[in-house]
Amino acid sequence: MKIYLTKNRLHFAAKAFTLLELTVMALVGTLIASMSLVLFNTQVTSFRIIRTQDFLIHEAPQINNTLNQVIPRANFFRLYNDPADVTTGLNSVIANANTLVLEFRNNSNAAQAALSNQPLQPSRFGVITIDPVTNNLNYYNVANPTDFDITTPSWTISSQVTNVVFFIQQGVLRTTITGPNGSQITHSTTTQR
Amino acid sequence: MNCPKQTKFRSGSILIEMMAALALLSIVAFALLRNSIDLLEPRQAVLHQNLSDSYLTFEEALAARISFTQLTAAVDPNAPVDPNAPPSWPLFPTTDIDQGVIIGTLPDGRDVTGTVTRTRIPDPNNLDQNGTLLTNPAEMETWRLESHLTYTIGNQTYVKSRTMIRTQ
Repeated sequence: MKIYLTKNRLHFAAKAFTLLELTVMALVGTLIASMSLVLFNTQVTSFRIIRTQDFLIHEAPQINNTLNQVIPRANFFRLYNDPADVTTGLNSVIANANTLVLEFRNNSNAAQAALSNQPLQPSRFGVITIDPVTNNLNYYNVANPTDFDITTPSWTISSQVTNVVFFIQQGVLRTTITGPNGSQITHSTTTQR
Repeated sequence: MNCPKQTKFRSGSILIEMMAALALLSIVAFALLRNSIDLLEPRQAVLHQNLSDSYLTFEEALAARISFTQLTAAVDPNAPVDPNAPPSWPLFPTTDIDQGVIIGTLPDGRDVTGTVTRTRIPDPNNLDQNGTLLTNPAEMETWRLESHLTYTIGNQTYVKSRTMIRTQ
């Protein structure tokens, strides 16, 4: 449309878009808008996929690494399906446990201690469980299981775990870790023999 | 009538510009899609690597823990698969094949399965092989326990192996 100004009035030139031109423009405009939307949705979906995979790609190997550093050093372990049972030492189980207690014996061999002229050191204990308040998978280093207090962890192994299950299969201690979005990975290890 | 000089637009130029914008958008969309695929594909492989590595810790732990009595016991490889049956590494070339072993679960809830193949190979210096009291005076018995995990991603099949040496 042509618009030009004379001294006193606006004059509108008669040439305007035809209905066909407007329709085509509207169609192409809609096409561009929908393509932009699809593009945006694709990026959002990719981002969502990447985020849901993050637990298995980044967090799970680190958890496995930590468990593999700690558990094989223990001499004995016990499983409980209630962290409260750690202090009493009762109701230990071999499946569907959410709490693992490890015993680390210091120069447990009395003869070896005598040879090295050192006093027999008492055992140390480690507890691995999820704190139901913070939802963190924690490690607790305690002198005795009766000292266990779920609110005072020594380390947080992971804050992305939604569930952990310890069980024994064919004599092997297995740990199934569930992350966000239901992803699951199972780590296996043995203690010292 | 005095009209100011008008810029002369060619008829349909807006349509051409919009088509150019559409073409440009298509190119950008294609590039971004390809970029996303390039990013997600290796992550899929890493995901399966982590799950399979984690599963193989079970094979290693089991191979380290199994008693020699159990290890060297006669095993019927044609026996039906029983998850509670004692683990076995039959004497090579016999293999114990366990199909449909769940090695983990993906974020969408899909189980990742694989096939585990186990076998045990005697050391050539064992007394019941080529060893003699001269070459093996301590009468050591050594076995190589092999576990092979086979899994598939898309059309590709991968094999990952762990070998444990047991001696007594």
